[in-house]
Amino acid sequence: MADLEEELLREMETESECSEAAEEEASPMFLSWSGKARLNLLGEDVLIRIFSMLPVTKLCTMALVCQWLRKVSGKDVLWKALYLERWADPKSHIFARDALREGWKKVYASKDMDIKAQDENEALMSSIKCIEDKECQDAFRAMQAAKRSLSLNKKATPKQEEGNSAMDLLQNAILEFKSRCKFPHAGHSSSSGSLGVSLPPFESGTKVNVDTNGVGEQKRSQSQSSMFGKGGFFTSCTAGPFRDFLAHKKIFPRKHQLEVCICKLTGELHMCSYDGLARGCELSLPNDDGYFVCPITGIIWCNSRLQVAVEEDEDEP
Amino acid sequence: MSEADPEITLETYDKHQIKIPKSIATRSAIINMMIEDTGDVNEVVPLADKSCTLNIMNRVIEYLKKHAEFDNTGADDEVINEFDKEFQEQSDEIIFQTILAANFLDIKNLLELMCKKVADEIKKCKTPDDIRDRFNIRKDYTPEEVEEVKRAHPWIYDKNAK
Repeated sequence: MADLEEELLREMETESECSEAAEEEASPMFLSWSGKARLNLLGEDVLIRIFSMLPVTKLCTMALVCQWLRKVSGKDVLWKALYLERWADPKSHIFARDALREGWKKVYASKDMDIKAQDENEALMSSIKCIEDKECQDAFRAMQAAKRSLSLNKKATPKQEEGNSAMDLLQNAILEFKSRCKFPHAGHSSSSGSLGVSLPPFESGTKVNVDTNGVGEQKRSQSQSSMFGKGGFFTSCTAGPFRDFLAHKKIFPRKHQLEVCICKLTGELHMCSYDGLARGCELSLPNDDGYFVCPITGIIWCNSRLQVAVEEDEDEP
Repeated sequence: MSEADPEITLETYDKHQIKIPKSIATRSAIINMMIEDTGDVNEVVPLADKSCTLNIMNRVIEYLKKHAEFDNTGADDEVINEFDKEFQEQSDEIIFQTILAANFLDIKNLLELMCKKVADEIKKCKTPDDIRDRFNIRKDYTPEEVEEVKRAHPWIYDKNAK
């Protein structure tokens, strides 16, 4: 015991020079607690007091420093205080039940994630003004959740696999979105869809003419007006999360303005870049001529320029 | 010293004796308790914790005296803060030992003050590596374990990215 104290004092004196090298050369006993080193001299009670003055992010960083600090920084007393401070709730005994089982840190974490998800959804919902259908909104939330877990997985999975799984996740989310909304299949004639909107049949391929004369600019504005001018046929939003995702996948460069259209009839998602420099559409497949054709809007992309014409008779039922 | 405020003799861990007025000594809840226990102000009060060396106790007493003075004169917060801030500026060894002594002696505001200093030092560190460097902590995680910790709480790293 006295030896240990001596060692302790010695370390306190030479601590400023005490480096990795010194640790390597030290005796086994020295090592046995020098692994805990300085902060640990303070003892758990004092450290908890210090940690209680730290913001959440720093507390999380402490968990990565060493095993012992992970244990101390995860103490219930700290996380309970943080939880109650942030979400002071007279009914907190309800959460206390979860906390007993999983610990306050987990309870805090899951609530924190809920709140974040809520915020994200609110931001998204405000940008998609035209979606009034409740089920639609729920499905969109599910999509967001999928994308969020995707961005989290991204950090854990190796790069190569990530591409496929990320795309799969997004595709699944979109499929889920469509099935939850009970959209009739694209191309089906549906005079009154689940949303009660009377719309003309809209079949991919047949209503598309490729403008080869380079008058894309004029035609484009025309196509836009036909896209959005049909009594809410498409909802649109500037696609913040989608754009980030696509930029990440190198499908669209981030700087380009991007519009996402959601067909209220089919539930198809369509992403258009207004500057016409898009390389393709997420949900489009190249047609026989090698152009990308959107299955719902019939918009055709070529390599460098949007060149589109939509048949006039579409506008009338 | 007036009779109402007799001197108390403290014996530090390294066997030095310090005399301080009772009104100062009793600012430590522990010393107060020990005096009440014996009921004899003439009895030497031993400080059994190894943090309570002469050097550290002199600093603790300096702090207590100054704060007693502040309390008596009703000093401005500004003046108090200035003193506290200066008092915080010490080497790590002294800070740590003062914390331990304040903890042992149960001097709440001194403990808070010094803990805050350490918390501030931690806040200055950005990464776990910074903290290890700053506080001379050896990394006892394997890379796999680091991944495991990160996986257990992915939201943490979400936050840190901000």
